[in-house]
Amino acid sequence: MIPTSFEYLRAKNLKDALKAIGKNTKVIAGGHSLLPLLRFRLAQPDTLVDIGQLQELKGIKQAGGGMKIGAATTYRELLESRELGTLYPLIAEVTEHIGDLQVRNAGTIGGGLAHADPAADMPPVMLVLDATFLLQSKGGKRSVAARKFFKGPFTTAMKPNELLTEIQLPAPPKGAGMAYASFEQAASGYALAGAAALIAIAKGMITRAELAFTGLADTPFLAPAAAKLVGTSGDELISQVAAAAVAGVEANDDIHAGPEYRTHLATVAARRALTQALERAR
Amino acid sequence: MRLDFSGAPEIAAPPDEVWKRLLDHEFVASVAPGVESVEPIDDRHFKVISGFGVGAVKVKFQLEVELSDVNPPKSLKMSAHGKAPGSGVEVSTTLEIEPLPPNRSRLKWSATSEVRGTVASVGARLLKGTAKKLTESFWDKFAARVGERSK
Amino acid sequence: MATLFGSGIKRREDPRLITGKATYTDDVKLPGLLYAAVLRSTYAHAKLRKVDVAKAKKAPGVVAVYTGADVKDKLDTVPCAWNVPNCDLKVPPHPPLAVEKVRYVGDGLAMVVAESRAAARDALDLIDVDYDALDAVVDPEKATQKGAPELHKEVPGNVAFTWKVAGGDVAKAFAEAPVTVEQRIVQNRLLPTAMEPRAACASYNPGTGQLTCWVTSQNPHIHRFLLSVMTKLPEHRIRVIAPEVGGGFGSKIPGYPDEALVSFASMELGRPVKWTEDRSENYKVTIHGRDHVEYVALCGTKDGKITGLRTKVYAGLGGYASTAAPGIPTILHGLMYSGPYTIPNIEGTIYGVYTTTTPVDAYRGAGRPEATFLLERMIDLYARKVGLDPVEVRRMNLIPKEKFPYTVATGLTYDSGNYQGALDKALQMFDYKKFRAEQAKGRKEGRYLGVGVTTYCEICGLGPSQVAGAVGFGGGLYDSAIVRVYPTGVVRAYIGAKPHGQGEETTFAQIVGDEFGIPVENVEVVAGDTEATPQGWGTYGSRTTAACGSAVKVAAQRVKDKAKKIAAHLLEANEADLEWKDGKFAVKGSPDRGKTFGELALMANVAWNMPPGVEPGLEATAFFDPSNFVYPFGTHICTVEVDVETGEVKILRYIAVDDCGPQINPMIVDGQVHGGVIQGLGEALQEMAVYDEDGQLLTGTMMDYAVPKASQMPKVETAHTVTPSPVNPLGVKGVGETGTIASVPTLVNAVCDALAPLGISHIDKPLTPARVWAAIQHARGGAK
Repeated sequence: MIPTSFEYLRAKNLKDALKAIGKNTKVIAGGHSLLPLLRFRLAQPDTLVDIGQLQELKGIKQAGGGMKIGAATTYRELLESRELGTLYPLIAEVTEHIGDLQVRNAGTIGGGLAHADPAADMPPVMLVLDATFLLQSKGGKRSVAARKFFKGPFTTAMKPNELLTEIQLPAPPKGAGMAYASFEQAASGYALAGAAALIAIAKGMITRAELAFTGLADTPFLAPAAAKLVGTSGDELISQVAAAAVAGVEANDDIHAGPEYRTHLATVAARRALTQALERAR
Repeated sequence: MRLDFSGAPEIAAPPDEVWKRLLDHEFVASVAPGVESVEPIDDRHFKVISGFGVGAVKVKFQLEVELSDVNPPKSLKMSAHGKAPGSGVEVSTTLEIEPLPPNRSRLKWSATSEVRGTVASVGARLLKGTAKKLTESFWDKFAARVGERSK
Repeated sequence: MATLFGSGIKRREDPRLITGKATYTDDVKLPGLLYAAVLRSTYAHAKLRKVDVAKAKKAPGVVAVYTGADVKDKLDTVPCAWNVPNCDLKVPPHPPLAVEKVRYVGDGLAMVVAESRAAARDALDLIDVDYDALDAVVDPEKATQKGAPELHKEVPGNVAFTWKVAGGDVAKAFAEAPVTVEQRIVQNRLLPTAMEPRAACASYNPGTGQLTCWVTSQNPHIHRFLLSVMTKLPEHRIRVIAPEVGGGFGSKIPGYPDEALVSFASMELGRPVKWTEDRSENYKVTIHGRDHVEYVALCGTKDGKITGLRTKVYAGLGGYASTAAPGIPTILHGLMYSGPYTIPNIEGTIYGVYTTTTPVDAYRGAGRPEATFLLERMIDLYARKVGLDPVEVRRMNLIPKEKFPYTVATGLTYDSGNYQGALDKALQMFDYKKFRAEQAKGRKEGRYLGVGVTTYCEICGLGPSQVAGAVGFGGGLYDSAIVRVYPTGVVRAYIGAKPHGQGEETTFAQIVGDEFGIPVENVEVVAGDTEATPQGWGTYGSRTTAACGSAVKVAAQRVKDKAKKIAAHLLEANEADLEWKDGKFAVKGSPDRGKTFGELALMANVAWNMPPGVEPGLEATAFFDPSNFVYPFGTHICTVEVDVETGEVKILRYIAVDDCGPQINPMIVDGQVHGGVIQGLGEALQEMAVYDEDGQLLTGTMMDYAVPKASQMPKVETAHTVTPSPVNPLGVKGVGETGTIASVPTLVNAVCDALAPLGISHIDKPLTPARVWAAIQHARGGAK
């Protein structure tokens, strides 16, 4: 339980941090994903760059009709933000699922997303909300859609010299309802399968439907099948869409759940999330 | 923990070309993720140092690689015995090259891995997907590169 | 003064424990302290080709590195101390560090001793090991089959012992019985997961030849003995101190190589050496629990009378026979096959089997949960087959309360009991008929409700020493106390057992306080230091209050007897004319003429005016050896709803009625029941150590091994009946293990009851949603 030795650098500001990161460095904020890996010596960086204290990376702001969240904002700060809770109640709902009180006190939204655990709760939320992630490096900044960010287990579109600095959320569509349903693995609390849904309606008809999964496959993903709900009243189609959304997906297999059960749970989670999102939209 | 994966990528090159590349350890190393050094002992045995992992996870293995059942330009067995502090891995890969006339091939590979120690006991939840991705992308990349070089 | 016995006062241990002020073994810091780390095998089964420590020896901060070859002539092998007789027990040598072969993932290969913990850990990565891999075998049944890899050359076929229990005529019973039910049952392997991992810190003084070893121990006197065997130091040169111990659940009973290795290193280096396990090391190296494959058959009449029980059990022992391992699936399991019932014919065959896995030993309940589980499971299967209500079948077969002491077919004689009373009490708390009506209604609506009812009894309060000797237990099972009164009238009790979470610091103070009529604050209980406490046998088997608490009581009575003599002398009265009232000895009829306990304590300690022939001082030692085991019992009820779409089990109610005799502290009793029930529900619902076919432990961390969390568990409703035991002066029975013994079948029976309409009669625990769902799919597929 003792990591290999490393240099520890507490960045004074963002510029400082961007200068320090690169090959054989790891960025640490809350540390909840990284520390176990360090202690098992499954990660052996030369330098840890601590960005947890950077005020530049903290905070939740209104922007246009949407919001911007600093990457080093803790889960607890997300839960405490009334504005965020009003505009995106789903984020608060899902955040309550993450870890326990201590984890939420120190863990950060950006850290969790950058870690890209394929069974984490927050990525599918980012997918259905169509968030954009701001990535910065010494050389500049670029934006990557959440939908193009998650590339595989623990693998993202970020380059080694880039830092996730901000999560940008567009205004939720008018008349939108959102929901998340998941089945937790009893030991880790990570999702065996989980689904986030967003449904917007106008005059009783669905105008937009988004559905994303976590835990099911090697990376969280958006299910295009949800689009079939658009232009309908939902209800009877939801079960079909839930099943179609997971069809052909190569499901994870581990000691906790085989692919068949996982796929089944994902279908149930999708149905429950879509149904609840629709109810909330109404 | 036992892991079995297989694949059969198509290669835009004839079997002879694919065979040549398979035996070219420098080429193979350039395609493999994380290889730091390859030291040939003879034309069938190699010492390799390679980091494996995704995201924050990276474990550096010392591998002893052996080629056997060499049957040019058709089939080959590649075994690797790897050690890392607290972990170990054995990978046995069989490779078959099928001609796809006129000028292409199919590389049928199947790999059986046995993972021991920390990596097995800590990574049960994630090992399979990660290892699969690494193995598949290695052979897919090999297939693509051989095709490119052959153009 | 109000009596302390029976008062639910708060645990005096807790403030220091919950504010981080307790001193554990890892907190011990000594001048010149060195730190040890042990390199562990990554293979489950392999021959060792080489263990090259040359680089590690040269690493910065490293003081010494030892391999199996270095220690094999200096340290003895790790002993097994429960040599169960009449079962052809084979205990092959267990070297403290592997010499020729490794036999499980975690088997020790080398120990690094360094100036810092980090330096020791870093050096492990520099040790180069070459193995010749051998096939692994993790399933105890498969390990006995032809062609299975063999672990020890001394043990062909891997069978360590074949133990039989028999009473009545089982063959006849089955031949004549109109109804027979059979079931294969797997008792999932469990990881004890004490909050504090194991640790040992050894300090050898080359000047005096004395070794002091701080160990995470449930039984420091046993550890002193085991260390003496392993280090070859005479026992009187060894002092074992178990400071605060953060839970054990049985895992801190055995002797392990680690405390012997740090002792050896300290003797070699002349400096103190400390080793502390980390959690993943704990999961790989500290003993595991359960791990049975059982074939069980039960027979009876068509109207619900059970006439016979037969078992064949493959009990996994792991790579080596741990300290108490042979006794767990035999004496503590097979002898309990009758449970609380009058089963006239019983036969069990138990194979102890070596497998390439972590050694298996006592885990909370130790053998008895497995016995209760198989029996209760079989009774539900039987009740279903004969079409009778499972509660009625139980009631019909319970031992009647007027029959105690009662000797069951396995030969045990139960001390006392009122099993119907506990069942009745539980059914007062739970409207069984109403639930059955709701269940029937629910089934029509597609809801799957179920109820499990367990009537159990267990053997605990281990036990008479004579029996210990007869069953091959390598020690006594009496316990001891010194009650010492200080001049100011405050008291310390030095006890032979070693509580590590059970609350005896509080409850024993209650016993002493009552005896002397002094406030509980004036009594302290000291445990865990072999230099301070009399020979005792430790805390396990729900024995501490029954055996050691009784010793405290007897010692206190002896003190009081002496105090009475002094009082008589000071009051110039006859002893016979004195009575103990309101905290003082007074002359009968003249309550003003009296001496308080404090006055007598002072006089005894200053000895200015003692009765002729009476020695100064006020203390007494007692060794209490019970005349029999004690047999607590009770009834647990659990109701569940199963979501058949997802396989999830929701616990609706959990009711525990336990009878542990008179309760010294009802709050602590309830705490023990809560903890035990939750631990059992963990076993029933979600805990399982998983090995792959190569012997790799896949549940190597808490990310994969599902210890129950508060949020996952129900409220436990407790109640009690009180049936005193005649075998000890307190009448107490022990309550540390009732929860893990009763709750497992209660939950599993409830789930199987819920799923009965689908034709499901058995699902192997743990009943994870994945397993329940798979069983439902299977049942539905079968129905199509």
